[in-house]
Amino acid sequence: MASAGSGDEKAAAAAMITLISSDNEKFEVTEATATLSQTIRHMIEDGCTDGGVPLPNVTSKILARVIEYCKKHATAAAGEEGSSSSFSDAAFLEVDRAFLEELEEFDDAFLEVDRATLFDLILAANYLDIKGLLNLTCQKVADSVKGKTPEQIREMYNIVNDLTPEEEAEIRRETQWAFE
Amino acid sequence: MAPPRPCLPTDCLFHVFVHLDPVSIFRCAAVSRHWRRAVIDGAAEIRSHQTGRADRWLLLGLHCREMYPGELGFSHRSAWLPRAGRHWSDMSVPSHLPKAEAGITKTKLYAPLACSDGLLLLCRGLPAEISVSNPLTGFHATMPRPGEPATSTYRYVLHSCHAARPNSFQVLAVDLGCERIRSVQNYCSETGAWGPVLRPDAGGELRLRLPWPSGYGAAPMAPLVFQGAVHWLCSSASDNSSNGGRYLTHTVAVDVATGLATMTRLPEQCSMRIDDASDRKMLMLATSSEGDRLSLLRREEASLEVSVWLYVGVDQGADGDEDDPEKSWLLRQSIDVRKLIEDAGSLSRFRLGCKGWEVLETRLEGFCPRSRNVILWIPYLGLLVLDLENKRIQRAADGGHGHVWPYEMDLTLCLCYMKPF
Repeated sequence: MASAGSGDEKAAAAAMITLISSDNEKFEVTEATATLSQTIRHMIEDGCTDGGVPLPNVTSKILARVIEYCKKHATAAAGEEGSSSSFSDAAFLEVDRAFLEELEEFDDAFLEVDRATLFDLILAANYLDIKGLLNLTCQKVADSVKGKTPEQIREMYNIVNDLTPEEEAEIRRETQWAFE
Repeated sequence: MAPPRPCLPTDCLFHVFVHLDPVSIFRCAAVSRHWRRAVIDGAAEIRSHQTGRADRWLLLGLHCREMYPGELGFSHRSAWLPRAGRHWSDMSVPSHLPKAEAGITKTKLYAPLACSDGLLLLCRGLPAEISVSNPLTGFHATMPRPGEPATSTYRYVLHSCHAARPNSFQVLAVDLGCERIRSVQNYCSETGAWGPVLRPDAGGELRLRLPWPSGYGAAPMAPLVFQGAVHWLCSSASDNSSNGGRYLTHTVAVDVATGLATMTRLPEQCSMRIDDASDRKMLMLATSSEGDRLSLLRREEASLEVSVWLYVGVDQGADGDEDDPEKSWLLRQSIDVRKLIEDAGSLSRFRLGCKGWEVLETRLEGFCPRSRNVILWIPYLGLLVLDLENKRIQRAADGGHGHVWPYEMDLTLCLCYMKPF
């Protein structure tokens, strides 16, 4: 948003958005960070962000993590834009690669959370419509589910088995090959 | 939020499922009612999702020890018995093939005639009974024989599988005379009946010959079903030159709906002796990467190189001029199979007892239109799967010996007929 020039700081300051978590904690973020969320982007476009954006589905603990993710990836997106406009010099490409590696490391570290937090992050990412974060967290769940039996999945995620034994038997008959 | 953690809502689970392979998805569908509903609700979207992970996870090939080709008259000599679990892929999948009745072990053997999208067309006994089987689900449907007395010159092509609903199929029976197509008839599983007998070439103007392998037990070259037509490599019987009839010079396309047949000339570089194509398997029909054009794979002489030709010719008008084959076929790419094998690293160590690359004669065993994978057979290495799209080659598990009937299967199709609870 903010273009280079003397008015830079002013524009940046003007583009701050206040996010309010379910437990009423306020977070100030730049517009670039906030618009990684499609939900908030639409709110900004509709001009209804004055006085803060209440997010009744997201706790302050989770919102802090989400913002951490958005900040990192917003700078990454800005960096990408910057490098693509400049001529593609080998040095620039090198910087790009280093940056991408750093981003990957960040993502890996970001996912080092317990299962409950991971689920909350997915819910938040889904609610706020942050594609990258939703993909990242769902991939993590998918990786943990891969190759597991239904019993192991239930145990892992504390899921109550509400299927009757007859239904379970039928499911196994139906797609027996998936269980061998 | 309630203390016993409510599980992820359906739309979030969907985002998890699109990252999974079919086996894992089916296991997820057995976790709880909620998870099952999430799988069923999202089935169509999971299958068509852009990551395409689920849809591309295909099984390749029914592997059988010995197999007899798809000619009804020979089925009584078949030594092939469908056996379970002989698929090659990275997971072992049990295959439910119809078993011959207890006590009868000598005659009633099944022989595969064709396969497509996970369905097998089988025949057994004399007079032959034709049936279609889904080895994965155990589906088995017997179909009536074509209206006319079946002769050994019939060729059966399985097509339009799962089009109307899961396990629906159509079978095209093409009766080939010595130098022409005698009749074409189509069976549709939805109506349960054979369509009218079409005689596309009553005048005998279209004179062609389809190659038949000379070796005992060798399968005929599989046709390519593509854009509503069945395509074969053939030779022109009206070619008056000295090579006439012994060289593959054309492709013939038989339209499934109308039975109309059209021939297209191959470029000079690709026409080859019938033996080279049918026994040494140096030539094969395929589809282009966009899936909208016919292409041709040719294994180059004395090298581990496969060249890909693309048909770019347009239909000529009513003036009947034949396309200029040198203009209508373009050499698209050359694939250095040797380099791909060397790049794959671990493959090279299977090359036991081989003196040099020069003696390795690659055979083009089959083309899988869905994934655009090519099944290659290379001495000392066995069966390999070449991914044309990503230029990767990998060894087909357990593909070192025996005949193979390559076919593809979309496992996620089963998602569509899962029962909700």
